[in-house]
Amino acid sequence: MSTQNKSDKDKWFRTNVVSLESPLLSYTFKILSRLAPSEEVVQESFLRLWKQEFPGEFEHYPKAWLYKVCRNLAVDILRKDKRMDLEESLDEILFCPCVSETLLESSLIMKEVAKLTNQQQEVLVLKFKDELSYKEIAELTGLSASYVGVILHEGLTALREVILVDLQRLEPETRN
Amino acid sequence: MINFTNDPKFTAYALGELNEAEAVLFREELLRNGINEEALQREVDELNDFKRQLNDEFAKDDELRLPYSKREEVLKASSKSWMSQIFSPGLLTGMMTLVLVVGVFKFNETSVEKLERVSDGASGRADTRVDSIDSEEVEQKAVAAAPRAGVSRGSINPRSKGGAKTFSKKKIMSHESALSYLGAAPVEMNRESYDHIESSTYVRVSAEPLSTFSIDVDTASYANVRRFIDGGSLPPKHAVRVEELVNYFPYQYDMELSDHPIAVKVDQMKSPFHQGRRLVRVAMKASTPKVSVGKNLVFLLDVSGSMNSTNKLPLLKESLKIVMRELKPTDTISLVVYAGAAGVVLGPTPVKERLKIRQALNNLNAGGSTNGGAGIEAAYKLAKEAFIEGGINRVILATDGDFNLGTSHRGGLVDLVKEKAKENIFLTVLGFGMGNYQDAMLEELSNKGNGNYSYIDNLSEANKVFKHDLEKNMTTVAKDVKLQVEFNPKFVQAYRLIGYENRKLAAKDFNDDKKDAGEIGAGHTVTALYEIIGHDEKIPLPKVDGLKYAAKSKVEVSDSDELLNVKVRYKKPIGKFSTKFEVPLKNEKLSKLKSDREMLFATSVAAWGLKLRGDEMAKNLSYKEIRKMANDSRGKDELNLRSEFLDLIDFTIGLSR
Repeated sequence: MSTQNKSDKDKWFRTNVVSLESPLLSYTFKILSRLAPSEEVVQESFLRLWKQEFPGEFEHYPKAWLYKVCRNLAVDILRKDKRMDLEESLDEILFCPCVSETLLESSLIMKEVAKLTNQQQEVLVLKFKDELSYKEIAELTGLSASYVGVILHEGLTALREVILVDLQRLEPETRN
Repeated sequence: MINFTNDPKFTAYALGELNEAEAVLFREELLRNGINEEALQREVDELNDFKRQLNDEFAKDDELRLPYSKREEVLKASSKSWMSQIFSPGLLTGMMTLVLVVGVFKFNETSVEKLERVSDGASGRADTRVDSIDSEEVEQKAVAAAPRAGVSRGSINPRSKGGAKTFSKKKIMSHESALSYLGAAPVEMNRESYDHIESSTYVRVSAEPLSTFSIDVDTASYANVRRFIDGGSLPPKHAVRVEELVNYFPYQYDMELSDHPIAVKVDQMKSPFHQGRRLVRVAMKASTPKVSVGKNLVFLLDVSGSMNSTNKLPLLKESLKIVMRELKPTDTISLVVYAGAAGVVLGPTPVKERLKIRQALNNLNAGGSTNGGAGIEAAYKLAKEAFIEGGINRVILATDGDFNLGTSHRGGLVDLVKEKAKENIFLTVLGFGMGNYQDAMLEELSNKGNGNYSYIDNLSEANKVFKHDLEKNMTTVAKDVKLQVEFNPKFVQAYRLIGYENRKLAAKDFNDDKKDAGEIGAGHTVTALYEIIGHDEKIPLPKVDGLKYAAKSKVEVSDSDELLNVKVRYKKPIGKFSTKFEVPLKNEKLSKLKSDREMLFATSVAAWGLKLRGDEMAKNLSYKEIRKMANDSRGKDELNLRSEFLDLIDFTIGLSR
């Protein structure tokens, strides 16, 4: 690898760390519910990313890969945690959305989001908060991409039906 | 007619999840069912409006951040393994990282077991972590996160004992907040982001006889550093870009302009940093075109919720009123805002319609969250509509830089801006406010957009940027200006370029016209300083082994009496090919060198910056000595910038005790 590539990789890595640190931490935190091990997991995921080779493809945004590493590390920690009867509740944990409860209380839209199924919420969050693509969400959750599309579509439709009318009435000026 | 919006495929289409072929198929299918593109587009827009609302809502969520030390460990781990600088001084944290990396990757113990072990011993863990933190940096970060002490920029006097006291109080607080950050509760954290700057080092001429870099006329770092110091804390060291501090000040360079739009002068003096070394200044000045051309300015204003404080949107409005006073009646102004959905507030309007512009300005309110991507596209579109051939066409982005990453992924934005620069629409970036200020991103945007970047923290800075420097900042007289200095190995053993760390270019880039570099505006001055070590000093720099296969014959050294040769390359503002000229500097006896006042002042600013960065180079100089140097060389100081600098040094002395 030439010097140029090294510094490119360095920059690429830094950009990822800076921009993904926060979403990854939120995501891991919602699985583990404890900040300290979440931080360890996120740090570890970055260190692994650095060790990975993404030759030449610096535009390729390794978001989904990082999410998956965090998810797997977090689930491993949960599995080994004897204080929890995991197999029953793992799905529930993984499919609860990684946003704070105060956010879900914060506005009209969010209150409606909170009424969706856990799976719909999760996919919605991964799409609109974390900006992952269908494919990335699929890879992360183990669902198929088309199924992710269906879940998202249903969630969105449900939301829009309830809210859109209200919003248009309340804030006509922001609609332009 | 079918209700096509009820199809998951429509959602996927609207969100850009279908590939091109699928999208075509989908549109064809709709056409067959009697739905035209227009109807489809209407629904797509509608859905995307809703999507943006959701984006905005989710963006309001509390941001969890890695503790500063942890992030630094990750970043250091990466740079260490490449730079193999593990043993550079003071890198206890780096060593810790190494242990961690080895632990994770080499031992049989899996990382998860390790993680678990670490997380189980919660209390013990917290202790070790406190030890491993680079305490000074965390302190700075935490102090920066603390609310700004009530120091008003209007008067400079409050920078005195009071400020120092506040600082020590904050010091204690910062430990607490550092501690609580290690606990379970997420603490509101400073979200300002700066790119890591690795200080340059001395380079042996035998290893690298050429030093190549792009000029930089940005001044943002100075105003930003000043903001930190006014607020009672030292700036984080990566926020300090020494060349931007130096270039913040106008210098009296009287040079004769010849055929080129820029003139270069090279001088030397004894180095105040080290005895027996010399300092070389490369001074550059741009011409001032006599006729001012028409201006087409598109202001892209961030009116997101985060702009809603007195030092942001209201200051921005005042700044715009200053601009209006400086423009000619026929120049046009457009206003585009962004916050959630982007919108054009004012199409291209001649400045003579002041009332209309003022009304538009007064109606701006902050609210919603940021989506810079859509706004920037709209702004460039307007700029193109009102394009003035041969005039100044600029998009001026005013923001606190808090773009929602993702929709406006940094790389994508940078590409867009770069693309538009080729169409001769340049970008100016104005940074406002603090707290979630994204310095690194703004700097990169302005670099790629053939633009400049200023940070505005108060009305007098707004005056400097818009009143005194407006022509400089708007009128580009030369672009892609690169400098290459060749040192004569006969006299020079090693050299170091001060600052310009992120402007360095490879030697071969100098002649490569495709390589982007800095722009220079009318009347701008640019200063670069080198420290030079002669052959009479022993330096602890590693020598490169002799080559085994190359011919043994000694390289012939020319018997030139020149110390160095400066080569300059630039392009005309709308040119594609560069022009080169050279300015050599004769070697003079060190004892005979006299110091030039302007050079001394620039050096004092550089020394201050180096000290703020904790750079070894300035360790022989105290802030007091720097202050004396600056005071002695203050000269005529029309804008009171230099005397303000003296005050800043005073305050730095108080803070660094």
